[in-house]
Parts: sequence; structure tokens; C-alpha cells
Amino acid sequence: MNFRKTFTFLALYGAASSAFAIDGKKQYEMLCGACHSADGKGAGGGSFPPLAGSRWVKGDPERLVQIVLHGLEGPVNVLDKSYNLAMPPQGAALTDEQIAAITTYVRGAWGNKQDAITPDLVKQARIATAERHSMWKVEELLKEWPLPPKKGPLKNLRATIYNGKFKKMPNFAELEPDDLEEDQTGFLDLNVIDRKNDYAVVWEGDFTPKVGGSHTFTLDSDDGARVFVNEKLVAEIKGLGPMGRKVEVPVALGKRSFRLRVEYFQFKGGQGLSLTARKGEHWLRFTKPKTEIKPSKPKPIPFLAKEEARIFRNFIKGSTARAIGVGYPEQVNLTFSADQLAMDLAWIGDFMDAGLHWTGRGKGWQLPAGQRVVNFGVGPAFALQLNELGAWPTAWQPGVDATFGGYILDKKRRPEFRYHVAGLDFRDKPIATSERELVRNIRIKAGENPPQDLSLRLSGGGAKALGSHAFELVNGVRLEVTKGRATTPVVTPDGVVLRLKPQPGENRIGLRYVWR
Amino acid sequence: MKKKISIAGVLVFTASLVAEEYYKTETIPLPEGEVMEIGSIALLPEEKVAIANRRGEIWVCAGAYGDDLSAVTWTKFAEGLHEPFGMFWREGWLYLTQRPEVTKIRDNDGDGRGDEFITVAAPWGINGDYHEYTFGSDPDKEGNIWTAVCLTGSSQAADDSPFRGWGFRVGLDGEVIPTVTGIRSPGGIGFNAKGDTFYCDNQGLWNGSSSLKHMRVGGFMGNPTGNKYASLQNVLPDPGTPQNKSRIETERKRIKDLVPPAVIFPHGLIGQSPTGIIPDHTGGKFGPFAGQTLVGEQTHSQVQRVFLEEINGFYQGAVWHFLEGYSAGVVPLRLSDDGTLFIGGTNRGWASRGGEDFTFERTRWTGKIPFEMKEMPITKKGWDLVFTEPVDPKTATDLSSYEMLAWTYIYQSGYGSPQVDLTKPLVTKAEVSDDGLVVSLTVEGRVKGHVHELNCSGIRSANQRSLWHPKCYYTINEWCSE
Repeated sequence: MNFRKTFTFLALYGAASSAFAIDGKKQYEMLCGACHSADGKGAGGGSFPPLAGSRWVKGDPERLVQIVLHGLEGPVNVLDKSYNLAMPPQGAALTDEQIAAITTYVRGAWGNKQDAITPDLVKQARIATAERHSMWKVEELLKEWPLPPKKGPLKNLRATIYNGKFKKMPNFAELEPDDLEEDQTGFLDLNVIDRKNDYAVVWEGDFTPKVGGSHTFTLDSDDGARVFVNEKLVAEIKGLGPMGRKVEVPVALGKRSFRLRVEYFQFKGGQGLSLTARKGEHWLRFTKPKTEIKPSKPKPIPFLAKEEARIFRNFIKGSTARAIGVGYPEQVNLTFSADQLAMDLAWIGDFMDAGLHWTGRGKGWQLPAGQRVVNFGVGPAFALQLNELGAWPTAWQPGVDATFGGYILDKKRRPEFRYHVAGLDFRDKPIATSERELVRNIRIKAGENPPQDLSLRLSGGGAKALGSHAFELVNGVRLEVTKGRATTPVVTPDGVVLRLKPQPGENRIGLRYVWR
Repeated sequence: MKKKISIAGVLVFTASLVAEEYYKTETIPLPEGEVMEIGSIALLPEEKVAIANRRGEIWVCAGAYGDDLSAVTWTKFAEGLHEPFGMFWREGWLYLTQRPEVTKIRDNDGDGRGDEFITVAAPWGINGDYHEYTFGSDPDKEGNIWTAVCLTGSSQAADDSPFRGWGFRVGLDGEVIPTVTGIRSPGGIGFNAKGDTFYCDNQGLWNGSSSLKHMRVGGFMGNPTGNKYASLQNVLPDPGTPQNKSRIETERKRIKDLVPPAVIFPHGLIGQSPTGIIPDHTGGKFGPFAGQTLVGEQTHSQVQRVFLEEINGFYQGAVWHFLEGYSAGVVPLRLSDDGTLFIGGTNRGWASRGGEDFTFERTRWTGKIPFEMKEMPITKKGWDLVFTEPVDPKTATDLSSYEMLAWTYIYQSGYGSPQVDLTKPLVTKAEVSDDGLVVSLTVEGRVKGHVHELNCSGIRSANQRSLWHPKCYYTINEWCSE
């Protein structure tokens, strides 16, 4: 067979394409563009992190290569905005050549001006982290490859330093400068000045606002400072004194270059300088912010019950993954766990905040939005109890067959939960009767010979008996057993436990919870 | 609760001009002010369409088939469900696969809102990890809903979350049958025209590239992470653990239940996140591709077209680009009997080329037939290319009209794989049938287990039209003996 002529083995895609250099732009747009967008600004009008102008792609090239190799998970700040997503690892899917081409493109596109990345650098980075099998988290990544320092907004910045025991702003024209510093950071930074007392500084530099219009300049200093824009005095803090003597002034700016001159003097003790200009979301931070801006929490999306009851199924902290949240217009709320067949949380006030779960990928557990949350215990609601004072099980006992059957809403959208436990058929309907009270009616249908050793737990630990059928729970909530008083509930360290002892046919239990 | 709809965005034609010649896409207005990240679409009687969104709401749309889409109305049917992906209507109930369970819902008091929410079955665990999604199908021929259960975080199988990575059949009466193992991260589930069940698994651990996988009963879909749960049931055996950094073709010899991906969608070249699966059952109302399978694509906001065939008991076939330009990441597809393709989309958490946060669109065939490769059955010596209209014999017999490349992916525990074992098969002969509709290719150098890229951009139709989509990707799992 004439095999060799027609059939060529090539080692790798990389090798196949080496004749034509891999087109980093094409690869980027095909593989990365959906999220980071072709223009590098991040997809969805900023729902996904931008790469254009981002410090994450600048400086040490290995940081960017490592993110591509192993992915990045969890909260991250990019250009002063926080994101909480996951970038999947690409190391196993892309060759060194592809990664080099893509990262080189990203570092040179949309105004980014960083060195190219070679396939060899990618190869070395791969070897160095070959043992890694999880996505990077921001902290561990930045520990190895910190972000390049943030650049301030000032260009052609010069600091002229003067010695002297100044108690007010001197006339600089009469003084001899002691030192002159060209500053590359773009910030007015006292830390780069090698003295702490008895000096004055004049900074001069240029800045260009991102938007035109009136900007609010905010100046604070210890000791005095003066700010000039295009040689016009716009803000001043006179004399000696600590930070906290903030002044705010409006300054009309256009979208062009302006000359900033800041005069500052320091006598003794504490020193400090803060100067920003702001128009809406656009900030000019002339001095460095004290700390990095923390990733922000998702915006709240209140999920409230106003006219009728509402259901919210998601991960509610304190309940289980199959939590069914119910909010009543009376401002009483609860979770019913379809895992534990238990009403496991109840609270008053607002129902839920859906912001966490309806933003980004919706990671995590959301706390109830209201107050005075009562946790009725972790673990199944039912157990076969030989000894009523024994520890309540944290998982379903093997002999207890339990299934959740769903819920039926009434005209006011209030659910009646249905479930089956140990051959018994339960219909469990909580109703808020006032803004402090929840009543729960449980109907149990039993066949012949119903189990006599099945117990229902009515609360979590920390309960105190108030007579035979009333109990003080945590957070000032009182529980009363109003129906089904044939047996007496028992207070155990794990909560109030009611032995059911159902009779064939229908049995009823009535419970009342009052937030006192 | 009736909602006013926003008029803005009516009749926004998002598809490219060329595509519009054959298929016309229109945006269906959504209720104003609502966030409708659509994950499921169901067809109801009286030309109503229900959608379920990722916020857990179900809405019913009237007028989605109408000529004047500005006249659609929306009614909220239910809320408080947990990230549902899969919904259909049957005998008065909406069946819904949501994160924690399969549920059936109906309106018992006739006020237009669901009031009975009955749990049909909940055979899998969830533990609070956001990535533990479950996708559910329509009922199959026997009335079972098929479910594909994503791994914890798409990479693990949590001890407190049994059966992540498994597929179940759930009877409408609640009977549960463990059906497949080896799922990683599904994006959609559905049937081909024959009624066999497929799901899309996403590029990642043990998936070199995304692919359309046949959920063969008892089959191992390839990711061993969930195999640990085998001891918790007595229907399916532990399929065994594949060798890391191997090839599917190699491991098939070791692991008898390993089902090779029916059609590989090469990462980047054919999307990055395949989703909903539906057969074209319309018998020609949606164009010349009746009987084929359509697959949604989230990242690239597209719909792909798939030709499937069974060879020696295993599925394989080809994928073509088909529809594109949707406004958000396409997740569910639904094709009505009259040939209206409904598309739902969402970008939350995963972005797409269509930059909107969410979308609801419909696509209809214009009646004009594109010049396309329609089918690509494998033959003993190559493939038969079946076209939608007669080819120009001159270009079709010219061997320089065909270019092929073939490669496979490393079968490994790492996230995805580069293209490897690249070869260049050669078309050595191209014969045109008498009616001009079939070109029989003789190809040397095909490789079992490889995906074969075929580029026929040189071919013209008899009246000198170019192919709408000249490239396709055929995955060979089995050789054809006839």
C-alpha cells in the first residue's frame, strides 16, 4: 500500500502550524473573546473582567501565564471592580505556542504595552507548577506574582523638596530647593520623601481627566497644603493641624491635559496628604488609596412577601441544600428542608435577599434577611427513639423511610408540605397569623399498626420547659403544643422531642411559635 | 399577574444577512423589567409557550407564534424553583427538572398560576455547590425523563452529594433507574429523531473537547469521578478507571462500558459549550434537514447541526455550523410542529458572543434551500456526501476541492486537551451520482477515534453556488464494513 505518500503524521497542532505563526488575535477571539470580549473590555458591559488596561496582564508575564494554565477562581478586583466567577484552566487544552500567542496578543492589544511571552516561558511556567491541580485563588497567585504597582494619574511629575521649620506655607520663590525628584509612580507620595519633619514639597505634573465637566476636588492634609490647577488656586488647608480638615471644591475640567501644582509643608509629628477629584464614577486619585479596594458584595435583590406568601428555593444558610424558603406577608418567614423534612429555620422581618444567588454564578449560602432567626436543629425531623433522652441523630436512621412529596399552595400561596415518614402520610401547613406568630398544623394519616416509637423534634438545643406543653426557645421565641397533647414533649439537650404515637386514621398536631 | 411587554427590541434581526436568506430570527419581547435568564422551554396547548428561568420562575407566553410579536403577553405561572433546566408539558402538568429534584406542577384552581408542586423523584444529592446542576429531558418512548447530573463544582464527587456524574431515568410515576455513569458537566439533554438519548458534555476533566454523547443504557460516559457512588446502588457496576493521558480509542479496549463521544465538537472551532439537543421532527417544515439533530451552543451563541448514524451499535457522525448571531448564550431549544425554533439564552456567570444578559428568540425557515452538505454517511472507503441540491460535477470531482485534517484529544484527568496525533487524510477519488446529489469520496488515511475535518470550499452547486458551511467535523468510532 502506498501509505507514506498520502498519510503524514504530525506530532502536535503546534508543530502543524509552526509553518504559519499562530495568530494570537484569532485564537484570543475564538477561545477567550466570549467572556473577555474582542475589544478586551469584558463581556456583557462589564459583567466579566476586562483585560484592556488591567494590571493583571501587566508586569511579570508569569502571572498571566499561570492564570491561563491553571485558571482563577473566586473574588477578584479588576480596574476597581470586583468579580466573583471562575476562569477554567486552559493548560491541558492549549499548547505552549497557543498560550504564548494568546498572552502576547493580550499584552499588546487595546493600549496594553507589555513584552511578548515566548513558548519557552510558558513551558517553564508549566514545569514550575506541574503539581498544581486546582485553580488559582487570588491571594496565592499574588503572593508569587504580585500586581505591578498602580500608576497614579500624574505625568511628568516632579517633586521639589525644601528644608525648614515651616508653620505656614512658605513663599517658595524665596527658598533654595534641597532636593529634586522625578517621580515615575504618578502619585503624590509622601513615602518617597526621605524625611518626616521640617520640610515642604512642591509637586508639579500633568493629568488628563477621563470625562469633562465639574469635578469635586477633595483635599486633606497634615500639615498645610495648597492645590493649583493650571496655576489657579483651587483648594487650601492652612496652618498646622492633623488630617480631618477636609475641603471639597468643584473644579470645571475638560477632557484635555491640565497642570497640577500641589504645595505641602510638614512641621513635626504626624504627616499626611490626600487629594482626589471625582466626577460620578470617574475618580482621579492623586494620592494612593490607603488600602486596596476590597471585592464588593453582590447588590441586594430584596425578595419580599407583601400581598401573598412567596417561595424561594436556594441555598439558605442554616438550612440544607434543599431548603424551601417561605415568606408570609405578615413578615414571618421559615425554611422547610426537603432533606430533613423539618421546618429548620424561622424568623421575622424581611424574607430573603436574592442578590447572592441571582448575581454571577450564584455561589454560596444566603442568610435570612430578617431578624431573630430561630434554628430548630440540624438533622432529620424524625427519628425512631428508644430512649427519648438519647442524642438526636444528625442523619436519617437506616430504618426510617422518608420521602418529600412536594407542596400545595392555597389561595394566599401558602404551602402545605407533604411527606412520608415510616409509612405515615404527613400534611404540614405553617401559617403566619400575625407579625409575631406562626401556627403549624400537622395532619398525620396512619394505616393499621402505625409505628409507636417515632418521634418528631420540635426545636433545636437550648429549649426550656414552661409547663407541660410550652417551651422557651432561643431568641425569645416561645413554642406551644396546641394539638396532639396525648403525649408530653420532652426537653432534651438537642431540643424538644415529641413522641408521636399515632393512632390508625387521622392524627393532628398543632404548634404555635411566638416571637415575644 | 399579567405583565406589560416592552416594545423595544421587537423584530430585531440578529442573524447575519446571509443566514437570513434561509433562516429568519426574531426576538420575542420579554416582560418588562423582568430578568428572564431562560433555561427551559416547553410547548403548551393553544399555541402557548412556557419558559423557566434561572431565577426559578415559570412564565407563559401567548402570541409567540404570531406575526406581530409586539402583541405577545406574558403570565407568571410559578416562582421559587431552584435553577431548573428541562421542562415539558404533559396532560395538564408541567414537568420540571430543577436542581434538587424532578417536579410536576399544575394549576388546580384555574387561576393561571401553578398551585400543586409535586416531587416526582430526587435520586441525587446536592450539597450547596452552585455547579451541581441537573438537566432533564422530555419523556422518552417509554415515558421516562432522562436526567444528567453534573459533578460537584464540575470536577468532584462530594461524599455528601451522591450520584454526581450519573444519569437516571425517572418515570413519571417516580420510579428511578440508574442509567449511565461518567458524566462531567452537562449543558443539555435530549433525543435524536430515532428517540435515543444524548447529552452534551463540556470540555474539561476527561473531556478533551466538548461533545455530543449517547447515553447508552449502562454506558460509562468517560469521566470516572462519580464512579465512587457505584456501591450505593445495585443496578450499574463500577465501570473502572481509565488510564490517565491515554486516548478514548485505547481505553475502549480496557473499559468495556466506555461509550465514545458520538460527535466531538472541536473546542473553539465548533463552539465551546454545547447545550440543548432536539431532533428536527418537522418533516421539512424547518428546512431540508429533517431527521437531523440540532444542538445549542452557549459561548458562541449558535445552533449546530448534527448528522448521526449507528455503526456496529455505536453512534458517530458529523457536525456543521448552522445558525448563529443569537443575542445571548443559547441554552434551551424547542422546535414546534410548525417549524418554529424557540431559543432561550442566558449570559449570567458564563458570557457569550451575544452580549445580552438573556434572550428569547424564534427562528423560522424562509423556504429557500441553502446549498449544504446534508448528510455524511461513512462508507467502507470514505464517505458519501449528500447535498441539498445537485453539485457541479467539475468542481465536485476536482480533488483539490477537498481538504482534510484529522486529530484526536488526550483522554486525561486534566482540563481539556490540545489537538494531538494530527494527520492529513487525502481524498483520492470523488465520484458524483447520476442525480448530482451524492459525492462518494474515497479517502486514504482515516483514523479510528479521530475527528475528521473536511473542508469542501471548492465545491459549487450545479448553478454555481458556494456552500453555506463548507466545513464539517466527523468523528469515527467504528469502521463501516459495507
